[in-house]
Amino acid sequence: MIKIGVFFGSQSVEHEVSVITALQAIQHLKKLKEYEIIPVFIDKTGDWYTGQELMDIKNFKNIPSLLENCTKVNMVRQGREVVLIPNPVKQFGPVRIERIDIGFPIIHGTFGEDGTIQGIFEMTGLPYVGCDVLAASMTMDKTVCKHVLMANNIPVIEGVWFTTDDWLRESDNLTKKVTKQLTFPVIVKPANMGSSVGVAVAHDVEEFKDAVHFCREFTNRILVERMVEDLMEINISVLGDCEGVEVSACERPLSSNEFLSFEDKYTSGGGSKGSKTGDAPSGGSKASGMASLSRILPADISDAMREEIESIAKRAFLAVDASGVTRLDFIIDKADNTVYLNELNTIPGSLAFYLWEESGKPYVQLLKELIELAFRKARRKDRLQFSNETNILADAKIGGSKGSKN
Amino acid sequence: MYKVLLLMLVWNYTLVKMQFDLHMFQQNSYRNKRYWRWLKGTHNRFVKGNDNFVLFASLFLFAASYTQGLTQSGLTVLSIFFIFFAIRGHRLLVEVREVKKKLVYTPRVKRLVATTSIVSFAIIFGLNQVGAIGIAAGIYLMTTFSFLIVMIAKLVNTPIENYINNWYYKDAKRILAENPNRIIIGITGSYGKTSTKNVIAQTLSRDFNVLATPASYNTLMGVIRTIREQMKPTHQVFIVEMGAREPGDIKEICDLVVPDISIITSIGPQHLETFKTIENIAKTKGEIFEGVKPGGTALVNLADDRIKALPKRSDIDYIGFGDNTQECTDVAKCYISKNTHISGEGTSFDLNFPSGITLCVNTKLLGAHNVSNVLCALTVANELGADMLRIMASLSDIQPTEHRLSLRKGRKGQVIIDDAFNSNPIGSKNALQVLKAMEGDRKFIITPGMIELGDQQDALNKKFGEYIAQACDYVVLVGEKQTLPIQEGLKSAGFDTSNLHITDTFLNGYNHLETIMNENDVMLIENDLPDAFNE
Repeated sequence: MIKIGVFFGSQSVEHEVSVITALQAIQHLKKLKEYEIIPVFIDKTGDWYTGQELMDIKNFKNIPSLLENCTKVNMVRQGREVVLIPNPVKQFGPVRIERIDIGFPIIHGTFGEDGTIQGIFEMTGLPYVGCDVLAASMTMDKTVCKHVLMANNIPVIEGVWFTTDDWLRESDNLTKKVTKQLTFPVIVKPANMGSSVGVAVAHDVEEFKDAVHFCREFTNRILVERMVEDLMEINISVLGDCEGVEVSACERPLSSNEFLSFEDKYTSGGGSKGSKTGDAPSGGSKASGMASLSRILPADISDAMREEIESIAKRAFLAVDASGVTRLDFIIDKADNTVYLNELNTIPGSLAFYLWEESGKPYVQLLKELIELAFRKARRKDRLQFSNETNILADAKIGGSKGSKN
Repeated sequence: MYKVLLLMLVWNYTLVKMQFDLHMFQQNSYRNKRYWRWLKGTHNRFVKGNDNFVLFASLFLFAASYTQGLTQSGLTVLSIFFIFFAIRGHRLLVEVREVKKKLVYTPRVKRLVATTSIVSFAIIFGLNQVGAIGIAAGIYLMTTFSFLIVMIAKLVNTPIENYINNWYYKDAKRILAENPNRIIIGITGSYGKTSTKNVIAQTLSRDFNVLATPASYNTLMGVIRTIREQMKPTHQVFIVEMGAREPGDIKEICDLVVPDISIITSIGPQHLETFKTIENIAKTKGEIFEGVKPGGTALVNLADDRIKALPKRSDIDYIGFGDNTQECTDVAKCYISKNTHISGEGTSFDLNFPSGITLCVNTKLLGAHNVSNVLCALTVANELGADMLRIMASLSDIQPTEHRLSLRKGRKGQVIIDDAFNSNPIGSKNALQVLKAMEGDRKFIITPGMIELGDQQDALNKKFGEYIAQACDYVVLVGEKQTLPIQEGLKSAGFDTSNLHITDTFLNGYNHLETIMNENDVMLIENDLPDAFNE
């Protein structure tokens, strides 16, 4: 059996959402008979656990008691395998709990979508699903991502960025910069948090300073963008890697507020009908995550706009060298129909399966392709040479006052 | 006292000699029958003649024991013999160290060393109990016929080896079962199996996780070792090269791996001494088609009549591949190549798929036989449902197997076509074709000729000489006796013998060429024999 480790939870504001997405995915992964699923849950303190009970959503009502029935583990290289070993390692206990053949991180936000866990996979040599370290960390930071997109001629909303230290040093200058380069209202957000945490709208300078103070509680890196007042949001998913990509149907999410808040996205009890195919996991609409949000799917936009969005989405995906399934969130300024790419999510909620089901690709097929992409990524890496075979130190002159210049 | 010392020295000498015996035993695949054949053959220089002085030493000891102690001069003579032993033993050690492929101290060899040491010590000890004649005879036998001890040790160790091998076999079965969806591809053939395997592995590895048995791991134990040391559950394709020394070898491997697709690249007169007739060779290679899983596929090389003539099963599919001079008969469908173009830069051809589409194939591989290899690889890829356009696009990345028409540069920057691994009549002909097509001022070749071709060896080597005369400006032959047929071929084709140089070792010949070649010349290294065949 090929053992696929599904990693979820972690130290993120979207911890619970990740549990939902992961368990949803596991239900469908179980249909692939050639894989055995090894669930690995990372709790909010950063400890890793494994155990069969982790695959039942009901058990997450009482996490402490759930974890008592699980084993605390670490993941390491052992021989030419990657394995879970007990944490702590006991003198007379098993030397390994389980072997893992491929990693599937389903973590939203920090400590999972940002290159951290991808780094562990790279170092242990485990093939894994999704973006590599570079793409994951780059797209996690909205400021850096904006730079890369701009350099690749992808239309983005104008913005000003600074750190909290910058703010403490020269808040007046920065305020002047914002009023000069952008027009009110503006939206102030953390560059590196997910899901609308720490975000506030400002209509004037006073509100702006308050918004920055609010934002500083969550981050050291702040991004201020012109807020598009009369806007339409369109989301689209891109699947693939540098060797080839595919785009899904577009959706238009609906909400009552000015922008989709955390509450909108995840705690709305008023989800329309759940996902179209009725494949909602046990637990009703509240627990079905992005799938239960009000949305128009497929989005009611013109063909021309749809094609423009598809084209920009593909280019953006390739510009950041992503891999796996991503969801790209676009903002359309209804004033002049300009299309802007707002955000790239490299581990989207519910893995955007509902967008692919709309396009005719069932969730199981999506998961199969994600695993194939993971292998493809590993094969690409295996072709490369990362170190020299010769030992340069063998002939070098070692020692001396400061060492040689080279 | 001297007796004990002498016996100790003899034991030591025997052990050193046994290291050499073990080395040759290893090169003969640990098979007593094959080893015995090699011992009787012309390349064994260590049995007769060189150990006769040992006989004299033992006779002297025999005489000495009967005269109840040694006189002063007797002691001197004995000391001289001791010194001879030491020098002789040392020289032997040095010769053993200079070989190309050293004795590898595998766990099996270590077990043999243990057993041979015990057996030889037991003999020495036993001899000590018998009188002087026994000792003298014993010493002579032990040193001259030390290879017998190796053969006895093998028999003694057989139960242990069987137990260990069984355990490894079961372990390999378990590892294979971790991924029952894995596609197993078996390849065999008198020649071409390694290069075909490598081309298939490289072709598929962009779209599949591929594991292939490494070079020369084509025995059952080699396959088991590959599985135990390298296979992961995530490997989706396993390519198994199967070699055969005796009938039943390939069936053995098929029983373990159970191929989904089997390929025979060729059936030719290789290893005729073991198989005796080419019909036996055909039947043994045919075991790979017999071993295919029901519902699987057999790939038939249309250029080889013997492969086409193999008995057909009704529960598997047969697919043919070949060029457009072949007929697509007796098989379900065919992949055909045509318009082949050979150059010093690579090879290209048009591929006609069974569906009717034709695509153009370009590779950097050299030699006409690589057309067949690439054709076979593309057949496999298409049958596995790979994206053919992607595969075609990545063909230019395919590297030649080292020492099989691979390219390198010499010390002066001249081009070297390295075809050093096991040569066969068709391979050597194609190599000369590439040499001819290669751009360069003068064309050189260094070769010891081809071996293991049974009673056709001389005739085939003579033909080889004729082809060489047509392609080369200067020829270096390794081994005067060995290359006589080639020399005949050269002469009969009118080759100017002032451009012929005969040398005793490959290294000397190669160095000679390095001195006379310039940077715009091209050299072909054709076949490089293992140590058991040095003159």
